[in-house]
Parts: sequence; C-alpha cells; structure tokens
Amino acid sequence: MTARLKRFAILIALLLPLGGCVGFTLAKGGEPIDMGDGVSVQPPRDWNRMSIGKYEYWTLDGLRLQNILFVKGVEDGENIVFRRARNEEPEKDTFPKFKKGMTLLDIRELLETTWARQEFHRTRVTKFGPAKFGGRDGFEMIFTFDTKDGLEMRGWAVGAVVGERLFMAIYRGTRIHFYERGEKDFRKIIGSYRFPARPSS
Amino acid sequence: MTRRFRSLAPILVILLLGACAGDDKSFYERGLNQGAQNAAKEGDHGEKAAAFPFKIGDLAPAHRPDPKSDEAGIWYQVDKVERRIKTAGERYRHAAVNSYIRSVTCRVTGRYCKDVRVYTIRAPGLQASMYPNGMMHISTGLLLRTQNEAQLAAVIGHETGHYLRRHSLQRIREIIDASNSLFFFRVALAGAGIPVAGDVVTLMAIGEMTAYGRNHEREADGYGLLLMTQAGYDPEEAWKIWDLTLKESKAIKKDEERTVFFASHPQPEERMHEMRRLSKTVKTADTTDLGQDRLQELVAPIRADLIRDELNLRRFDGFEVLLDHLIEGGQNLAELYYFKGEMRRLRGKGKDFVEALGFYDKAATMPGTTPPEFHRSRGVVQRKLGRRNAAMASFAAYLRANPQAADAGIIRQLIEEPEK
Repeated sequence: MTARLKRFAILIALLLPLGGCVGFTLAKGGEPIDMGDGVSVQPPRDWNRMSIGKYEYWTLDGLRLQNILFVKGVEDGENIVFRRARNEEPEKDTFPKFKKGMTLLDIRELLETTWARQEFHRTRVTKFGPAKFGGRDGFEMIFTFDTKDGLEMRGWAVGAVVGERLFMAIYRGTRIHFYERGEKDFRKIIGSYRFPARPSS
Repeated sequence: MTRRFRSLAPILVILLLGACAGDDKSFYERGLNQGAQNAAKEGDHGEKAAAFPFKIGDLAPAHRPDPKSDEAGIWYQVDKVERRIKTAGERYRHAAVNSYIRSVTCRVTGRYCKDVRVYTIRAPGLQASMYPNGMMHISTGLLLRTQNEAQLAAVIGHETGHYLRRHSLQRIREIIDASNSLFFFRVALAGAGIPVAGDVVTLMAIGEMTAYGRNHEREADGYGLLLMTQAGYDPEEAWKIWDLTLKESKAIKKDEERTVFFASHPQPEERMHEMRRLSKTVKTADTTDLGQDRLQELVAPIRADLIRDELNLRRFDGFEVLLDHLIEGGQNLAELYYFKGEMRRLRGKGKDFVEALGFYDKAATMPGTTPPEFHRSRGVVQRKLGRRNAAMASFAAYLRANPQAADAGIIRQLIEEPEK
C-alpha cells in the first residue's frame, strides 16, 4: 500500500463512523433549497442540514445550541415528533396527535403538550397569533423554555395547515448568544418559504 | 443489540438475585419495632438493627463515609447526580413549596434534618426516591395526591427510612456480590447495550425490582410510620396514599406499566393492610396532627398547573380516578369539574364533546374559581358542536377576563370568522 493510499484509508476509517450517526449536509447560503413536496426556502448563509423523513433539522453551531426544526406535512393521526422507526420509542405513541380540522388553538395545545412530554420545562408562550407562513394563513408563536439541563432557551415557531397537512418551522436557541446569532437568518428563511402553487395533499 | 435483549438484561440480574431473599411481611414490623427500640436507646440510626444478614455500620447525623470505602465511591457518583439536579430544568423552583417541604422534612427527620436534602421535581405521577447520600426526590404529582401534611410526612418518613437503613447501598452491594464483581456487572451491562455511565442509578433501579428491594420497601414503610408518629402526625393517614395508588394503577389499562410498578414494590393491597394494622398500634392521643389546611393552602394556587401535567400524559382513565379522588376532597370544585371537561375535550371520542360541555357548564355553577383558559375551552367545544352564538360569547368572555392573553389575536379571528 502506498503512503498516499494508506492516508486515504485512514481518513475513510475515521469518517465512516461519523457518517452513520450525523448525516449533515450543507444548505448553501443564497441558493434555493428543495425541502420536498415542492416546498423551498433560501437561507442567507450556509447552514448545516439534516433531513429525516418528514423532519429536517438545521443548525449553525450545533443542535443543542440553536436549531430550526422543519416539520414537513404531518398528516391526520400522526404526532409531531421525529422517530426513527414505528416500533422504536413506544412511549411516543401516547404523544398527542395532529388531527385534520384542528383549529390554531388546538395546534398550540399540540405543540405545548408535545414539548412538555419531551421534557421542555417552564414553557411560557408570550405570543400566539395569526400570521402568514409561505403565503398561507397560519400562526406564529413566541416562547421561552428551559431544557432538562436547565439551559434557558428562546423559541419562535411559524406554521400553517395546507391541504390538511401541518407544516411548521420552529426555531430554538439558547437565551444567551445562540438564539440571536441565528434569528435574522430564521426571519429570512421563513420569509423565503414557498409552498407550490397547488399543494399536494 | 436488539431492544428485546436489552430489556431482558435487568430480568436476568433479578433472576440471579432471586435465590438470595424471599418476600417477608415481617419487615413492616421490623422497621417499626427496631427503629422504635433504637430511638428509645440511642436515637434512630439503625445501629442495632440486624434485619439483614450483612452488617451495616452506624449512620450518625452528618455521616460521611470513609473515603477508602466502596460507600464513598457510590456517594461520589450520587453527589455528581445531585450537582446536576440543582440546576436541572425539571427542578421545581417555587420558594413557598420548597420551604414548606423543608420544614416538614425537618419535623419528620429530627436530628437528621441536615442530612436529608429534598428536591422537588416538576413531574406528574406519584414519585419519591432516596439516594445513598441523603438526596431525596419527590414529584409535584405527589403534592397533588396527598390530602394532608400527615400523608406527605408518611412518604418523607418512608424515604428517610431507606436512607437511615442504607437500603440503596445494601442493594448495590447485593447486586455486585451476586454478579461476582462490579467489573463483571459492567461488562454484562455494556454487552446488553446499557450505558455504563449511570452505574449507580442503574444499579438502584435494578435493585428495586428484587425481593430484597420489596423487603426494603416494607421496612421503610415501618420506619415511615415510626418517624411520622414521633413527629406527632396521625399514622392512620399513611395507608391512604396506597388506596389512591391502587385505584389509579387499576385504571391504567396498559398491562406493561402495571407490571413494572408491581415488580418494584409490594402489592399495594398488602401495604395498605399492614400499614393500617400497624398504625393502630402506634397511634396515641398526641399523634393526631393532620395538617390538612397547611397542605391545601400551599397546593391550591398551583393545583391547576399540576393537574395539567397529569393530563399531558393522556392517560385518561387514570386521570379520571385522580380527579374523582380530588373531588371527594371537595376543594375548589369549579376547577376540578373544568378539568373533567378538559379530559373529554382532549380525548374527543364519541359523546366526549357533549359531555365536556356538560362539565364546563357544571364548573360554572360550582364553588371556587376556574383557570383563565376556562372560557376558551368552553368556546372551542361549543364551536365544535356548532353552537356558534354560545361559542362567540365564551370567546368574548375569555378576552374580557384575559385582555393580555398571548392568543388574543387568534381568539379575535375566531370571533370574526364568517358563519359557514
């Protein structure tokens, strides 16, 4: 084995375990990003992106410091938490579920209860009002909470029900520094959020 | 490693320990009598109590284990857990509640007051646990379920019994002995895919499911009775907590959850019966304090939050049992009937919305105060049932009562929504 080949083999060996558990790709700044279902967004700068089925996490500095969770078309009878497989984490079966015909008040309750079950503590909603999301009538929610480790967090969620499916973008970050660091980006990202002209349903 | 194998690992350990000890009801009395004898002679620290075949040394107030001992190693690990819990998100930071619990704890533990540190955890359900270093956790769900201070004192006394008799240390040592060495145990755990980082906590959890664990529960029940009685509380309150627990666990239909509960504790029927019997033998004219007003005054302003925590679990059958229990207590019935309605609104099956509205209407006529969300919930259900005018009136009432509500914009939108 040549020295060059050996270096390459070591590099691959080091990268392989990372690939299995992280799976981040780059969401390039200034370019439209296809989120599936004809939905697209355009981030103002590079974000790290991890897509898992109907859920997609974005972060600048690490998921625990700040993240955007995109919820992409949750259907009637499904809950709003990511799980790897249906038989994994069976306790999530008892999480509240999205139902078609839910009012925005019901959706607020769905979010708050889900977060309580995920051990977000001291959640305080300071605003929950009507807002446009991707050009559709939806909601906006401003909130704070503490993580299980006692870290104080801020959050901003927007969403809408389109074709009887729930779409959301939820931005969360630490009260100190990291929320602010991504806040302007999030504003631009949700401003660029576009549903296709005819939503698939 | 498959999930199934991982869940088998603790059972294997229990089987391994199965031969070591049998269930023995005499432990209730041992806890009570030996504790009483020791208390009479030299203070209650279990020095002379040889209820278990291996020797546990004295545990005086302000005890710290010998730094060279295995006990010190276990304390060191649990101290780390305690440092985390001090700033953890789930810690209930409510000054009045924490100072109240502190005062009840000191009354029950006497000269061990400084050794037992209680942390209130914001969590539904009846949960209380004792760690080897004197750290105790109790859930806010416990405060919701106790009808008076004497019942709370019984639980704190029970957990203190675990500390004084160093039950968790005994269990951890038992498991390590039974599995030959901690090293072997770690390898077994790691092999089963259980993270080794939380050693002590894992060991404690597994230890509780053994027959030894059940005898420890019995002995701690005896100590609990002793300590609460010494503090002047009415010992006949202790068994009543099990009455509610039994009813709630019967209502939970999922067999899985019931099995886990009953594996780690003696049958509640047995505990109720034994505690009831023993309480009569220790009760005197001086041990009648219930402290009902003190506890209820503390819980009243936070009760709606705690009930909401229970409802978040969406275990509707157990929730109904709990609500009926609270209704029997008779405090702020308006709030309780509101939650009867909430449960049906959230379940939303069959006649639930019609019944929910019935309970909201009932809540409006009951003594007490409903939470600020009352009119909103009532409006939501009226709207679902097609009673538009009533719904609009409820939403308007909600805005009048909560002009600064975070969701005022959404409510206004619903009021202005055109008729379909």
